[in-house]
Amino acid sequence: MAEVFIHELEIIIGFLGPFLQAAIRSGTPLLFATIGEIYTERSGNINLGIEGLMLVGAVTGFMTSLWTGNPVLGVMLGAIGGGIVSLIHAFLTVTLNVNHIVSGLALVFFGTGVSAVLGTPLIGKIAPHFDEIRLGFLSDIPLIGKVFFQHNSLVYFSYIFVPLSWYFLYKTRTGLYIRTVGENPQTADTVGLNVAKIRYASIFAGGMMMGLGGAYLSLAYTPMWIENMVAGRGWVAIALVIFSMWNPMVAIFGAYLFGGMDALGFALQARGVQVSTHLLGMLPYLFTIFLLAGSMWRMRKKSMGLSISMGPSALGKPFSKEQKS
Amino acid sequence: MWRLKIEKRLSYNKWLDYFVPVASMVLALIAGSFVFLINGANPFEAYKEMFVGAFGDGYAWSETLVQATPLLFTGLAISLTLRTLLWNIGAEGQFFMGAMAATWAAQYFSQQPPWILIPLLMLSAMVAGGLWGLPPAILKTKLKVNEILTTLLLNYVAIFFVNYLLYGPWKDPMYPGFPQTPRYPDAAILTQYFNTRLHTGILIGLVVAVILYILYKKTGWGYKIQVIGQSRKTAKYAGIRVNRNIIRVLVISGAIAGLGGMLQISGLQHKLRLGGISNNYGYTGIIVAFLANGNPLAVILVALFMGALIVGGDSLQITMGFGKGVVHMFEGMVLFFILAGESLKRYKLRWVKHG
Repeated sequence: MAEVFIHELEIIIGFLGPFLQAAIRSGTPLLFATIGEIYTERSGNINLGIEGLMLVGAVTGFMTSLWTGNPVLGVMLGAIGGGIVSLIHAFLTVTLNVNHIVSGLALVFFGTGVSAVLGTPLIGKIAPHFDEIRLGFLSDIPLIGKVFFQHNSLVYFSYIFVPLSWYFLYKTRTGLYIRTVGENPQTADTVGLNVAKIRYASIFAGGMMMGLGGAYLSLAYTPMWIENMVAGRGWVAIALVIFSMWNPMVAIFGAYLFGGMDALGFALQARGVQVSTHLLGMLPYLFTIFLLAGSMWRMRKKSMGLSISMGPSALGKPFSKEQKS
Repeated sequence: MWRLKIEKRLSYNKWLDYFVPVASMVLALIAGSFVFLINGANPFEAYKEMFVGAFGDGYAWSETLVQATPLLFTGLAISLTLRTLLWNIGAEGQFFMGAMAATWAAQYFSQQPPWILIPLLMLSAMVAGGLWGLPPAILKTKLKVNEILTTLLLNYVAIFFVNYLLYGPWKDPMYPGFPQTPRYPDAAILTQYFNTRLHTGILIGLVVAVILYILYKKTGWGYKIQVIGQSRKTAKYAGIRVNRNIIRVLVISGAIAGLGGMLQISGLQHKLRLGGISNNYGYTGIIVAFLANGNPLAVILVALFMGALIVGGDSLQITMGFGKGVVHMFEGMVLFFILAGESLKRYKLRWVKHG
């Protein structure tokens, strides 16, 4: 009996290990981008340009690593690249009150274009990149070692970065400022906060994280430059922000879930289960819609006017001091 | 310390309406010329090439119109929702669903003559697109769920579903390696004119634009949705059934986008093929509708402009060897300047001394 049980367990671990590992591997770039958009949206700004910013991050990161031979420098410049291009969106939406959605879409065009122009001479080149690093005994723990500790160093970085980003947003004064500006810019202005400055900073920081997500793709995930290599992940991140209800900690599960859907389909198929990866791919999005409907339903039952779980109240609305009256 | 401050313009200057779009185009062209200079090309030559590529002869015009057609539909679909202050980010998915439903009808009714089959295709595409707009509408009116989020999310569902069909049950058995359906029966294919790729779709698009224009200007319903767009409260006070009309607007919007999907396949592609359905038309349509400010006749012009950018860019690629990247970059910059210009019509910037 016991032997049969252990055998079953081994099969389950043998199935779960590679699948969960793949989920984290492909979920991490989504995670970085999602956290970036959470910061942006928490300050009251919607940036739909993630796809473009990730591409900019991917190309600048790869280029830097190719020229300097230093992938760490590459990741940093990838992040800075994403941040700088996101400032166009900040100027248009915060300073000029342009509609957030339309500006973000224009950013997708621009970012896609810039990355393709910069990337043309990089096609086919090999740059120094991040390889899998084992963390001693941690990586040897059954199942857990395989899933969490057999990755490249950017994945390990995300383990530290994401909780920190949650802490910063919820437990520090600056984080409170960001959320106040997103919830009620009028009040924020009254108590002396510089709404425009905080939004600029949040959009820039968000753009950096999106650029970082892009650099992950070109320096760790598929370590080379391929035109349009972000392949829709930027759009997925937008859905993920909603899924995670604007909370970085929930985004971890969301990103791994969305990232794992492909891997799950292939893992099931390999075991002879006839299932379409495409139908599986639909599930997270349908689930997000149900989640949205469910949370509104709950809120209506409680008849609360607050919309905490529905994202920042001032999301997407322009703010200027003159409009108060 | 000096900083930039934005202020509402106190008076409305009529001349700005003409000056600003021209100025922003000129600025965009100047900024774009740096892109060409960096890439070692003469900007004047590049612009001339783009213009000739898009409008230089009959064939160039036909290609521009072909590219403008899907944008005309998604632009019209979204402009309808903009009039009621709703956002339909889901035109992309509705476009896919329309293309899918049309393909289903083309197979299912393949024995019918064209004059029955084509209307059936159009009808199924509109039903499918409309149905795709329905869940966001219901969630919006019943539970106040933000329609931006739900319409966006449904895009992925639609695209995954079409992928599933193309990789699975609908795959052409003759070409097992390719995610595509067999070719439509001849009766389901629209006429193409002048030996070009120009098809009846553009005419249908113009008709839809005119119908919408008449709806807005001449009917009570057009007036109602205008009131809803200006103030939900006023509309309610005036006895307009706001929720019912919001549902109608989102469903009709979906139907228009779905029709665009059908025409793209039946007029141009002639089979449902992965990568041959939508080239982000649903998202570009948002920009089209926004720049047209909700006016269906203006949508025609903006769609034509965007179509010309695409075709002009393509010819740049062929004649001067520029990659698609330069074109996208240029398109992005044109949009930035136009958007900034739109905003500066209503606001002015001033340097103020701070502190």
